[in-house]
Amino acid sequence: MSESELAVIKPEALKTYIWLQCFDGSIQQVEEEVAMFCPMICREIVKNGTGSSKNHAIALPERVNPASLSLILDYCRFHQVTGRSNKERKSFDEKFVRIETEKLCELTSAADSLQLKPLVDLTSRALARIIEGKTPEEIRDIFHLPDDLTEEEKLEPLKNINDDPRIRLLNRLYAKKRKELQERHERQKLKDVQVQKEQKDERSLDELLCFINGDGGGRATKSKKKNKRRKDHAKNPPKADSEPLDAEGAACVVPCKVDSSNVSRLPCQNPDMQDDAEYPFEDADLDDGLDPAMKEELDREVEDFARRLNSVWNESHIGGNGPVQRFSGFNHR
Amino acid sequence: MELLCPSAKRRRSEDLAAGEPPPRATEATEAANLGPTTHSKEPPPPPDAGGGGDVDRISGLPDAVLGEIVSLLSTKEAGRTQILASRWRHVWFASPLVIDGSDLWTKPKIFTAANEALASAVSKILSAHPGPGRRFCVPPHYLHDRPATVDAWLSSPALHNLQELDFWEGKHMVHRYGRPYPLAPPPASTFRFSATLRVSTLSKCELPDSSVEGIHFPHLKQLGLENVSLSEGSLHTMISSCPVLECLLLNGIFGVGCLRISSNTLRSIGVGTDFDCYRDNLHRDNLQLLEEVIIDAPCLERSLYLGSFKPTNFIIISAPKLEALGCLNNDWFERTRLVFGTIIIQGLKVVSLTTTLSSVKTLAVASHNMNLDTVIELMKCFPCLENLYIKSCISGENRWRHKHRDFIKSCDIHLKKIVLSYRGIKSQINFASFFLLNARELELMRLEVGNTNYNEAFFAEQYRMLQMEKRASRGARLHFTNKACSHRVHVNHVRDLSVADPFECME
Repeated sequence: MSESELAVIKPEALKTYIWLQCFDGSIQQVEEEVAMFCPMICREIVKNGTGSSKNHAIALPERVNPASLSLILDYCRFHQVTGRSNKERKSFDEKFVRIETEKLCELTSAADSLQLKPLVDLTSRALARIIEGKTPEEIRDIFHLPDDLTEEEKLEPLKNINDDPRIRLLNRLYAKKRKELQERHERQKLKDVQVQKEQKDERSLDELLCFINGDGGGRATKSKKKNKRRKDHAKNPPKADSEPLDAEGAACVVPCKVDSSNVSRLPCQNPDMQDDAEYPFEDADLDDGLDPAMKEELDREVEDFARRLNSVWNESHIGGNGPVQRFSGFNHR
Repeated sequence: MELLCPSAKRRRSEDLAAGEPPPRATEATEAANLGPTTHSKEPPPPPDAGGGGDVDRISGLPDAVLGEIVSLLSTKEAGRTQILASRWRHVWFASPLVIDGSDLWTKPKIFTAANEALASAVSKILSAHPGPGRRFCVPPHYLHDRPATVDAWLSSPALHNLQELDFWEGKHMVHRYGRPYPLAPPPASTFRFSATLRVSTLSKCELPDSSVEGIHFPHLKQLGLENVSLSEGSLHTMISSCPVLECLLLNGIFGVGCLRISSNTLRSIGVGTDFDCYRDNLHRDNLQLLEEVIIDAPCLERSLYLGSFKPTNFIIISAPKLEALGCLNNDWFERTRLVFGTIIIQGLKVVSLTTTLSSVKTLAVASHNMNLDTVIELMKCFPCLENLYIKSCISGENRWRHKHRDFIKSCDIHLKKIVLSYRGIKSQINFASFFLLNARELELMRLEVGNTNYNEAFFAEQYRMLQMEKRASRGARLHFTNKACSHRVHVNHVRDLSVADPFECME
């Protein structure tokens, strides 16, 4: 034998080996320091003295199949070396759990029966990552779970958490209020535009109206008259159309016909306005075309409604636990 | 009997790394009558989910393990496991309860409706679950908007033995329009879990002296106080009531002028007042911000400075294991003075240097007039620096061939990674090429460029301008990214303090 071969073999010969036997009868040996990393094996060696020879191999629990055992021993072999950095260990762990889901389940089971908690934690987290974000059907598919619950049993827990009629009421109210607010806002904007553009026209119309109505006329009553006229227009759009002199009237008609297509004239279009009134803003951002002042007003109205709703609701509905029943909804500010 | 030679062992590990479970588990076996494909369980089923041969291998796990898996899921997903199969129906009930408000935060993100939905969901979950509690996280404005509700929640048996309590905003559960409100003390039930808490964040509240008197947190490892008003005595009481504290986040503390920390367990600290906290409290009279922080923590690894709006003295008496430091800056309103042992840095200027800190490996700096001279002076304080983050634009002439030739000759630059924003102007070319041509261990230079420059032509031109072919480290790579990082330090929650590199942008 050459010197290098001796160098390789000699330390091996001096190592102590522990014998392990799987439930299927297969026996293997592994270096002592690696085996001792598993608390269950460690206990067997120390307490019962087993494992020192083939005939007295440590009987491993049923849940440890040879494939999982091999993986576990690799895990132990890596981590029982003290010099490794946290980065190295983390990197090893990440790669280690990149195995088939089934093998991962078996590995978790084996690690648990050997009481190797760090590995159980690692594999549990990997399994949680697989489950996260998937539908129940997908999860059942991946793990081959039996679909053995009745439809009723399936709906029960979901109903408890998601189905709160109050929330839907609030959402609907919010949608309605927002629409109103946007209409008002839109009308206001147009009104401002009119003021700038058509001063002269207005005056002549006003004068006309004043004359007709027999008022003193003048600027003071102008806006009131304008609003009145707007309201009239709002109620009777066809009539406004028929007045040829009414340059403002023609423009007036537009906001009166506010529907979803007109709302699109807003700078930040929200297409969800046309959706189902219940959840009209699936992916709405805070920037949904409303300025903060408007949002505040809206929120205040909804909050008011919620407060009233809560006080009625609490009496009849809230929860089984005693302490929870104490909660009084909003605190008045 | 078989002696496994080292090469076979290594091969097996490498195979695992590639993701294949080794079939040679059976090589080492000495079974009486078993062939290589026989295992104690059924043979692996066919890849297609056929139905017949597919075995459910997860439901066989013991309840404790399944419960652990479920408690690692988001709150919504965890609740949903009840409907997976009959075996799973009661796993959620038996697992430690996790209620994370940010998981349940519904769209629309319109405050009243979303808050109602969240509060309702929390109440329902608490009334349905028997406990024990693992984690409870709700927005801090609930302490103000519905304190009685919060009190009821915290008193619920479902939260028994709670381990993590967060009154935390996150990016999702933002209070309405950011309007500030008067800070109130949290309900007494908040301190009900002091015996079992491991992680806790308190935000947007006031801690009167009476509330922290006599408390003790024997297991608390991570503590975050954000936008909290409390007295100097109370803060010191709180910190000293945590004998195993490892991570401490103090963002926007009001009422404390000088903070003294002496801890053998503290590993990471983040101190400062970020802009949101500051703006929210501008209306308060006699706003007392932290002016001095004195740290004595022999295990300290990360010292993170989150910015301030007042000159602050930051004194680290002893930190032999300090590895990450930043973000140092010289914004005009800060004029922060950092003292590390014998090193004194005012803003970004090295005022005094007697003994270098060779443990520091990661440094982040920001300045309105960032230039090479400043950086080199800092590098002299931290000779073993490996990661350098420049969180602002580089300017100045940055000529170095003559000016810094002594430094180049006498000091080895151990930098491995440099990140900076880049436009291709002369000053930046000079700056970057200094490192490319002199840092012999450089592995990565990441240049954050704007979208207009994010194209192959620009990259190729910079490769030439920066003289990459003459680079000092053959392994050095030039990496362009158009993801500009706006944050100087990535700390949103106290647990971010345990991240090894808090300046790396993970988004």
